[in-house]
Amino acid sequence: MADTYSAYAAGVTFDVGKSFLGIFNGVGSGKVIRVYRMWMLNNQTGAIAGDFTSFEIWTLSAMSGGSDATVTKHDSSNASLHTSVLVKYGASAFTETSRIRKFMWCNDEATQGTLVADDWETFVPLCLIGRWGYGSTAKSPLVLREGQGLHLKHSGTMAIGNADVGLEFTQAAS
Amino acid sequence: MADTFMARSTSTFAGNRSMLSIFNASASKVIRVYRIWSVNSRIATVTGAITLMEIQMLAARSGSGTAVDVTKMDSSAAALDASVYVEYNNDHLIAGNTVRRVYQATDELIPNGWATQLLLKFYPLGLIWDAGYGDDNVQPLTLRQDEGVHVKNIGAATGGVFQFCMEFTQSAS
Repeated sequence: MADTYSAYAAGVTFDVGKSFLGIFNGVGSGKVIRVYRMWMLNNQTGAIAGDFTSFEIWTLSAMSGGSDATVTKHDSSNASLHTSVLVKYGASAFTETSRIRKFMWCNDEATQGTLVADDWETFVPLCLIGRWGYGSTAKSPLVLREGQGLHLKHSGTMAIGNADVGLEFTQAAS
Repeated sequence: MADTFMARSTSTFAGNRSMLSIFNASASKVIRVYRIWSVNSRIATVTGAITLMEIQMLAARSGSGTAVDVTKMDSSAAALDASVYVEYNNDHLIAGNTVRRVYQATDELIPNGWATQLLLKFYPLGLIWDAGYGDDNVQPLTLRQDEGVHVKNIGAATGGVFQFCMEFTQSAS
């Protein structure tokens, strides 16, 4: 199996048009990145006046700026992620190439004792917002060659609250 | 296929408590964690809360917790190495990266109505980690010597009771 990594960005704050989590395989890395799965979880802790807003998953041809997400090797014997492979939240600049998914998200805080949209967003299996090729070798995951990337963008207008975003991917030489 | 095991604990919530952990101190075994579940099993009345849990990698273990049930999926499998520790409520663990956070509602289950905590009685909805399961291209969480993983309540919830389960394999390499 390929060297596998989980990236995680906790408590990413909402803002208009914000890149919540992106991965970009820079030119010169000599690596191929394969993205298998992506999650978004409602871990909003305080009471806010949240509402429904929209998110989109885009492929990228450029990405820069932002803050490093936490990247964990699934096996400590894996090679380190190549320095030209960026995993960022809040990227300040990006060039989108193709939109592959759009979905709605309620960013109100989750509570117990109710069962409304924001509560459902705390269940990991229901928060799998991307699952590409997983479980079938006959299908391809999202493959990022040099100069290609992927990100989750908040395409709505909410500017309060936060959410967690996770990404599962592999790195290989070809 | 590798020798496979299922760990299970009945874990009572307390603030900052490790609800289920596995730590590999063996120099001769590699542990691969495939799936983790967190399932509400409290039926007695309790003042629960929605609380934040974290799945954290472990970098060290300096003391013991409470040993939990570990079942071989095949009785002919080798015994779990004595240096592989599967525990509940071990407060001697040093955490590394957090790989996921998830909210859990710890109030008791009631027979009528719908609420967040009731959905957490279903194992499919309580599956909080499944990397590598069903796809051999993807690595599970691989624990070499002096590495581990646990589920920790980093919130302040007390009193709820959950079943925590962890599916893992043990092999020589």
